[in-house]
Amino acid sequence: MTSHYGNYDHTKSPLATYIWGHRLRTGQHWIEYMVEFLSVISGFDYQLGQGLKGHPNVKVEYRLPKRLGLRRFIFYDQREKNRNPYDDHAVQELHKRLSSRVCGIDSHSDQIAIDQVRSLLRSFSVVEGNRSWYAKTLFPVHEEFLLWEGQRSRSAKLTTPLLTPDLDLNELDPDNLDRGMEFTTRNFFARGGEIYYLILSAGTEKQPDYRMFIGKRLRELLTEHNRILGQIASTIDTTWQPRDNGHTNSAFITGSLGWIPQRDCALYQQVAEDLVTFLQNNLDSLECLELLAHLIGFHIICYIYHHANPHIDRPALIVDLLGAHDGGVLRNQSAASLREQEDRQLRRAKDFVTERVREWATDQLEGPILLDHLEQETKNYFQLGQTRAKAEYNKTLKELGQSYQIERDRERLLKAYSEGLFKALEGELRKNFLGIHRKIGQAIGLIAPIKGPKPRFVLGDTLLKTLVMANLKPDDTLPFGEFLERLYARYGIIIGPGESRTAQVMERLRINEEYFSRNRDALRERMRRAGLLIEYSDTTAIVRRVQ
Amino acid sequence: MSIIRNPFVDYLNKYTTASPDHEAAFDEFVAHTPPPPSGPLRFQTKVEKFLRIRFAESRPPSIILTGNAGDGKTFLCRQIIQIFTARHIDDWEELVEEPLERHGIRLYVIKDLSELSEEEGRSVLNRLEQTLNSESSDRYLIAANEGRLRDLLTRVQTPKLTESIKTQLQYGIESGSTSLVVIDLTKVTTSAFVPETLRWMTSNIHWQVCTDCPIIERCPLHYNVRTLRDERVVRRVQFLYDLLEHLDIHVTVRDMLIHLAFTLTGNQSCPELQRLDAEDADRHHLVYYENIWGGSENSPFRRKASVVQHLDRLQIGKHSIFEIDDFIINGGDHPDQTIVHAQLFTPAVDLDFKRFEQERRAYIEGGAEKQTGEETQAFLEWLPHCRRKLFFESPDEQQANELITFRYLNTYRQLLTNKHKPTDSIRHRLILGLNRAFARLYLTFDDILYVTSQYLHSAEQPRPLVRLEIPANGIGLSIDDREEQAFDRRWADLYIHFSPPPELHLRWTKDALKPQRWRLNLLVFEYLLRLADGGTFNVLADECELSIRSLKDRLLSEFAHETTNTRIRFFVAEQQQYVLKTIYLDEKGIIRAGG
Repeated sequence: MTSHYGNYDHTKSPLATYIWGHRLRTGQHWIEYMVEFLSVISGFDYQLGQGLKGHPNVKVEYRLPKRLGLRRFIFYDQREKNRNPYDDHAVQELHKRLSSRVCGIDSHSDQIAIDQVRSLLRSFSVVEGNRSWYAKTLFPVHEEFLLWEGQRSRSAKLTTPLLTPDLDLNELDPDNLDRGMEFTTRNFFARGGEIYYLILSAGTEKQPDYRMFIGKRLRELLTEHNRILGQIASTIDTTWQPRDNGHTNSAFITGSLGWIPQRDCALYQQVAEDLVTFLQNNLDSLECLELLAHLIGFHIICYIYHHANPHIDRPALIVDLLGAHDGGVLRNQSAASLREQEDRQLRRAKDFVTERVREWATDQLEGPILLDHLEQETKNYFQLGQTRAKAEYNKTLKELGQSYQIERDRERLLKAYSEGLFKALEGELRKNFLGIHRKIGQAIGLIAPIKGPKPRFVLGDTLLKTLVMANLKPDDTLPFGEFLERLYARYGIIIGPGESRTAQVMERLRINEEYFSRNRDALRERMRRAGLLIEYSDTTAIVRRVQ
Repeated sequence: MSIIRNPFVDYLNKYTTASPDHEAAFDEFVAHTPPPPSGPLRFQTKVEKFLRIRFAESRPPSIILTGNAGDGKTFLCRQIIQIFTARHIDDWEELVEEPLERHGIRLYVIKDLSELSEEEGRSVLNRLEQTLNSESSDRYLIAANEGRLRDLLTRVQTPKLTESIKTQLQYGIESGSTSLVVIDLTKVTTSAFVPETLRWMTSNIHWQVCTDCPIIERCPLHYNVRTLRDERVVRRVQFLYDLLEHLDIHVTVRDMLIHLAFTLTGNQSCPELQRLDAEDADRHHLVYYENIWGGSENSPFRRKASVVQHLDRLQIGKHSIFEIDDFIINGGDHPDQTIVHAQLFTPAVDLDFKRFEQERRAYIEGGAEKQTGEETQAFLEWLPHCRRKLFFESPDEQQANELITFRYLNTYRQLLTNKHKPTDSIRHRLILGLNRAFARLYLTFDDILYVTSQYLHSAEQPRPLVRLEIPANGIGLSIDDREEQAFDRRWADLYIHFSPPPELHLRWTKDALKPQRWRLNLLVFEYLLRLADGGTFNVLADECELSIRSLKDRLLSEFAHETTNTRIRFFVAEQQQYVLKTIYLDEKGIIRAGG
């Protein structure tokens, strides 16, 4: 087992977790990776390297305000699908209290003023859709906008005693009205942000100045901009529930980190470098956050692809910039390259299962004893949740037991067992993990189309700008050819003939060099139009980051 | 029947087959191919004049020429060497180390900085720096691509040189600069040389041979020559090149020569044309006003020549303009219009002689019974062709200009030539256009520029936040024609200026805030005015969007500072228009909103 970074706890986990850490999950919206990450780092007072159990001088848990008052104020309304008398009342109560904190200007009524504030705050909503109010979240224009995923617990114990007919809701204080809100569900804040925090922490173990810089810049980004918005948000929230930074924890949530594999992975350092370079900007804060969300999404995808094939230095991602103009050749290859990345994830998972089974199959065991032993180990290690998968698995076990009586072929037994076990676990893997890279990729402009056949790798303008900013310091320049080399060396991105030759993709796929040349020219033209590149002559093109 | 062959046609065709990719090859071709009997084409350029004067001085400066392949760097180097030593150069390499000498001045010539190794390149720059620091008798003449030059400068320690190069490339030649002159040939407006080029190409001397040719009256090439002698048509060709200039597309002199040669000949040869004539083949598509767009869809020339690709995007003749199509088909209402029509559409090789007129008559006189669908279709295919003819040859230029999709071209040019002082109206419309481009909303304010930022992925209606407000009286337009420049320049640059808003002066006393200026090319100008006049966020948005976004970034990073924000301002839709709302915190921490 490779070394971990974080709090590895030996509990039974889904298959994906063993390979990609605890954890990444499909339900997380692409912007929520950033929101969760910023919440965590703000919860650690903008310091990386925290949250590790057993380390001295380190905060073990991150801590942030619940902000239920704010959240309810913004998101709970008539359209809410999960209405609840407590929340109805709470909102009314908050509005009442706010009328002394919010006033209308120029003869506008207080109610109009409140509505206006509300609709302004709501315009920063990240996800609406089917979610209940407690799972909706805001774009973090300020630290006070960081809302952590919540859920109204259905646990009877917490709600029943209060729900009596003669209960006067007016008698209840916020704590009671908020009772039953949990913050540990993690369907949407599925820990992807924690993973990113861990990646950065691991990647800066030997670079304390990077740690300081990242922490400082993020603190600046979240607290020194949009201050009025932040003050408004905090006024609303503290009107509902005052925050005593001392010891009343009811206004705060805490959480602890998971873990990631391969603590010394070079990719983690690269991610940290990218972030440090990117953060040297003085963009408008909204724009900076927008690009940051793209960068984080991109890094998570790199992380997934890396651990799907940890023995190679970089994946081979053929990016199609020609679109409709290439007669489909490059497009097809790019689509194939994307499918391959997904296949690798499956293959890695399958190999992992096979490796575990071999580990457990110690030499002295044979036949039915071996099978029992494997079954026992499996029970302690993997989660065979779904009933159908489990039924299939049990069936396989029985068949294997029987066939072994006849054949006595140990090798075959182990192989068949691994396959059967993988099959039982595959469904959950596909459902909860496999789609992540596509979902994020489509949102950030790395994968297209969003709906439609043959998804392939592309490079949207915003992602391009983000990558330039992550690889060039302000006012730096880099010749275009070297920029392409860098994209390949760091991320495995293949665009031009040079890289396709280095990656040995051209011979293998037997694509004419001309396609890659045109591909490269298309990128050059896009970057020129985007102002990211200057063409000084027919042959010299310089990439620049203007600030 | 004897075959007449005009060697000048072959000469011109050599231009078009020379690949634009090989600068060295082209230069060799120009230098070594025997010129046509009338002599080679020579422009009298301002640059050359300037260089001649400076080099005639007893203490000439060092010179750096930057520009694209085809801007004439090598050509100019040759001329300077001629002035200096009257030598004809074949071996450029030896000049890097062995200077030319005259009157105690030693001139090192580097024809192409990119051809030197990294080490050699750095050495040259270091040596040049030294000459700037002392009374040296060494001089340098260097031709380079700007990109390569800048790149190399980052790897040497040459502060004086670097400073001088960067300043001159940005602002032009310093008046009174004595030791180093940097000329950026991409700033030369190539359109200035279009008339001279066409005059030379169509000059009688080259076409004497044709008088004995039996097909002369039916030859498309000869038609082209005759028509391109007409000053009006020449001006229209120049006009197209001006359009490209306005769109910031720099065409090198070499590319222009190749393009105009192709326009004239369509890469046809005399034997080929005579064969087509013998077959009575339809040659109307070989006319200059089709060649100028690159010829047929798949011609190799079209793929090679970037000029053609740019011209193609103007889409002239591709779209139907009712008045023009009406004129072409029906011949016009008034008698004078009919005369113009008859003159314009005189049967000639470009209209396949009488065929166009016949088909036109059949179309307007024939009823449904007489014309089949196919015949109608065939006739209508003449339209794009005729529109293009009209574009170049019509006496009514205003009508012809309707074929260009830029509605505000005239306004733009008037501003550039300073014919009218920029009016308040234009200024306000530009402000309105910018407001709409920034906020992506149909705002109606034109007296204040609102520089906004917003969260783009809002699941609800986005509310652009106003970060910065610049009043209209802090925004101005100016022309910068840089007359003192050493090169030919037909058009000035149009700039819009933004002054730092007044509140900033009060709070930010550390560094004086500089006004910002932004150059408006035709594309952006058109986009903003269209937005202001009610147009949609259209195709132009793709091209302009990023440029506008970078203006926004710049204004925000130069002028907007957190400490200046005491309130939040944002736009809200209210009763069919967008209104500016304010929310702020008063001294007691009460949130005030609604206004």
